Amino acid sequence: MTSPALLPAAALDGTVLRHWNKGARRDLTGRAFWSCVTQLADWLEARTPPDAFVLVIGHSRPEMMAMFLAIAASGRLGAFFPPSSPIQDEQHYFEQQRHALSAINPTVICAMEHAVAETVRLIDPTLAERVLEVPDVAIVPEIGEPRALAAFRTRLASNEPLFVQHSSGTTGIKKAVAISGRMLTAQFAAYWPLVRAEAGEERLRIATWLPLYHDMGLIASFLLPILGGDCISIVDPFEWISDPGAFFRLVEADDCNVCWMPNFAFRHFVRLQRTLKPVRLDSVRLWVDCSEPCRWLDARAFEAAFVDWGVRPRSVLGCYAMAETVFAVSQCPGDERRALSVPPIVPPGTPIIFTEARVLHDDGEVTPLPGHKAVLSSGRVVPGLQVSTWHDEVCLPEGSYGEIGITGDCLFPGYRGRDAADSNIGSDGVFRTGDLGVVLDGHVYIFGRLKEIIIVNGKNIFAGDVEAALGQVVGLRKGRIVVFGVESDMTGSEELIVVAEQDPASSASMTETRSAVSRLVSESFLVKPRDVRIVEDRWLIKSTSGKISRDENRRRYLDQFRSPQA
Amino acid sequence: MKPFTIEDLQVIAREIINDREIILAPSMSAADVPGWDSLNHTLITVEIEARAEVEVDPAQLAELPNFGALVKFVCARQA
Repeated sequence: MTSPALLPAAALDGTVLRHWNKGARRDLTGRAFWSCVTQLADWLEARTPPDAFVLVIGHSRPEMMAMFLAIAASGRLGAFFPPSSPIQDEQHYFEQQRHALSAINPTVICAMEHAVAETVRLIDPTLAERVLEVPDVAIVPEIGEPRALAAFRTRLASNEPLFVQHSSGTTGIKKAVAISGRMLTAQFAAYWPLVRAEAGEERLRIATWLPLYHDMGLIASFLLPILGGDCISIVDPFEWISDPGAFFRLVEADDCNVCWMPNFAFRHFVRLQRTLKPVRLDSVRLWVDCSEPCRWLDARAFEAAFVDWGVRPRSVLGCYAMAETVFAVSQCPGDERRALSVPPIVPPGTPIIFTEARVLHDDGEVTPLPGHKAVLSSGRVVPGLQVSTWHDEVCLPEGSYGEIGITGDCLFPGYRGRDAADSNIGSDGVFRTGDLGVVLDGHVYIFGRLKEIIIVNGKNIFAGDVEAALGQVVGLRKGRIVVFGVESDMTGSEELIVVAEQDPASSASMTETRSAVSRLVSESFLVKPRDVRIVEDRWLIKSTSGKISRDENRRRYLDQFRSPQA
Repeated sequence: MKPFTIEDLQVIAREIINDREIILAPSMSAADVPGWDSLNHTLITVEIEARAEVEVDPAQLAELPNFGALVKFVCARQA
């Protein structure tokens, strides 16, 4: 497989960006887009020191994408930061953002819209002087190669940080991964040929609604297509949520051929199918299912639900990705799609052949065993990376279930401001991910985690953080609260469940307490609990060590409240 | 056309969220209901449109202060 051309000159006069906003489309050629980058880089250089760390906040549109590249082209370090969400109340949003912005300590904050600038100033008046409102740019196309493109190309050859990706923390932004030009180009050289081969076309037309502050939106759906001179059709994530059909209309209108989405989005489209106006989706050769446990049943359900719209069989393929490796660790080829039916409990260190696990194929056995989960293969490891599995300090033979470890070309050197040891990178150079899975016949399957992280619609939530936050709710007994995840066939994601004992001394009604829990979790963590159960005194089970047991209480909850007889 | 009621909304919410114990009151809002997230809000809106035979925008409904206002809004559209 040959290396793809990096920033090809031919893309300058082709369309590289199609921005959709409430049904209207604006197209930009490579020349117009990169000229916009040049203008914004000039604007930024006049206002910031060369070593500035610049945050970009706003809604997904070409100017915001150009701003991000302008920061890199001008030698500054940039990162996207999420705008406010309509489901958060102002007080909690401000509190969290103040904390996160204080931890990041940016030199300046580029607000893409006036309203965003006003919000940031309200969040923390001490930040007011760091806020720069990015002006509207009347794009003047440059003759020849735009200056910013040449500068960006130079930075791609460097080991210095090019930009920062922030991991999705819960109560604040927790970890920052600095990506160098070399890391980004290594990921491009390793991953992009696989995507192009799967799409069967040299020039990709990417469809995306993904937020640019998440790696799937930033890397797979923005930076890699820009490096490849491909075309991106983009709609803002808030517009996708309120009008999911608009995304399919975009796919049809722009003849898109590749799309990355988290697993829950495939399930969401299945649930919405009968309400959407049919469009043709034949153009899409590759739907990549990524960012949370990939589910075989959801991939197949999506293909079945939209077969009459042209969705191809076996076009939904799994991918394992993370910010720490820039993006993709593995990607499943279309002709090798498969899944693993795994029992609900597999102790780490167990060879998978010693369990009842079995491989499922589209042409063979497709139904998981009763009680099993069917994990879609995340495919083969991309060139330049190596994946191993571990149990404590022992590297396991292939085929054993354990913690996923990664080494290789585009692996990060450690979180920004932390050394390798403090970033789960051992002296052997292996990054221990905290994800649990198995490599079997060369395919990666991810289906567990070392820590109690609940992934709700692509967002990572630490159960312990939620339990700690709920300690302040009136009506609950302190220390008698448990939070856990339950995999959901309905949503294609995990559901966050809260079970808490009522404080007998409180006068709050059960309805009031449930409402208070629901509000606090959604406002603080940006996800809704699927269920809040207020139970009687001593309902919760403690482990032998005297701690509230998540596993035992999860089982008890499922038996008592979610079994068919409940 | 039968006017849309809070009971209709409760039936829809129970069905979409798959929780038959949900009880809605006019003073409550989506924030009070476990499981009523932004994705389910879109699905609930679609069901409201089908049941009440009106067109409504999910964003408009999300801006209303409580379920009482939501029911009134849908009824006004039906009129």
